[in-house]
Amino acid sequence: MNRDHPPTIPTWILEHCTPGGSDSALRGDLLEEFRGGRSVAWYWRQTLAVLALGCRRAVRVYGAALLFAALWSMLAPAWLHLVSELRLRMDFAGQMRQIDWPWSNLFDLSLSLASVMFFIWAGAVLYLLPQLGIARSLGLGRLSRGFLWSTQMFISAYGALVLLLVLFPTHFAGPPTLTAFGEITDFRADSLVRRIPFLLTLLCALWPATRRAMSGRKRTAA
Amino acid sequence: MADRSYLGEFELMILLAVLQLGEEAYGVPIARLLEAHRGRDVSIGSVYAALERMETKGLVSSSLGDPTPERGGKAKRYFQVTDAGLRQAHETRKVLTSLWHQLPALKRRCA
Repeated sequence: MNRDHPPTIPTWILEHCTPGGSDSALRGDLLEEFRGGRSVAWYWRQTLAVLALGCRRAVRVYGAALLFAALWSMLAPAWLHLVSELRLRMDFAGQMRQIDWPWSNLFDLSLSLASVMFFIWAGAVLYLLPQLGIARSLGLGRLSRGFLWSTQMFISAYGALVLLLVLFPTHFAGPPTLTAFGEITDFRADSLVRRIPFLLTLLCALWPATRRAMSGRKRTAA
Repeated sequence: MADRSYLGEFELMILLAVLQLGEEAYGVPIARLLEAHRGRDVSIGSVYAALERMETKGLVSSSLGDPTPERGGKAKRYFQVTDAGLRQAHETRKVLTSLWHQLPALKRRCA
């Protein structure tokens, strides 16, 4: 047995298959121990333990983000319902008629987008609050970029959704829900599909934080 | 900043091992020391995972040494216990000692 070279497969697994990557110092420790006389079976066991720990952390980090994004996006139709009620009460359409085209439409679109992004960013902030350490380590610049990227993601996802609704109107047409609570408990296909842009956008906004949580100490090891 | 939660069993063991090893506290000797005291195999990955958790909490800090050829050009990561980590270890020991001292009274009550 060659003591200089550890088994190829577990070494490859350590370098390429560990979720979030493995610490190079940890790989060095395993190599040092192997060269110091540890068995191939020991090296395999250690590798599988590192892999299992990485997978467990990935499930915890990505699973938590996915679960939160799914739950938050379930509230999205209720938020849109509240916003549209507010617009009705404030006679928003009447006020828009006093503004010349195309500014009226542009203003309307911007306000709609702002209300949607407010909802999504509020969700992202709520998710990041218990993880202030990670949010701080990311810095305001990266967090802001993540949030801006999420706006682009929402526009793209919403565009795709509109296209889907135009192409297959009969699949997604249903009677409207009259209350905000009714929107939350509406699990019909069209209502679920409308939540997808919110889900994707929130995941996009949370992506830098989840990546940082996964990479952990390795950012300083690189 | 460390929070007020107490250390877990494995975390406390690692913290004590790092304290005992002093300037030579990196993955291999920490795992060896734990193996010697526990009498069973210790996964270096789980040692790193626990150290990473404690580093996030501010209980330990780490620094990289120089890369060495016997480690395939990979550097050692040395760990040090911070003041907050030391306080946390003392606090946990105080609570555990106090709980252990309560045990005879508990036995008398049960008898």
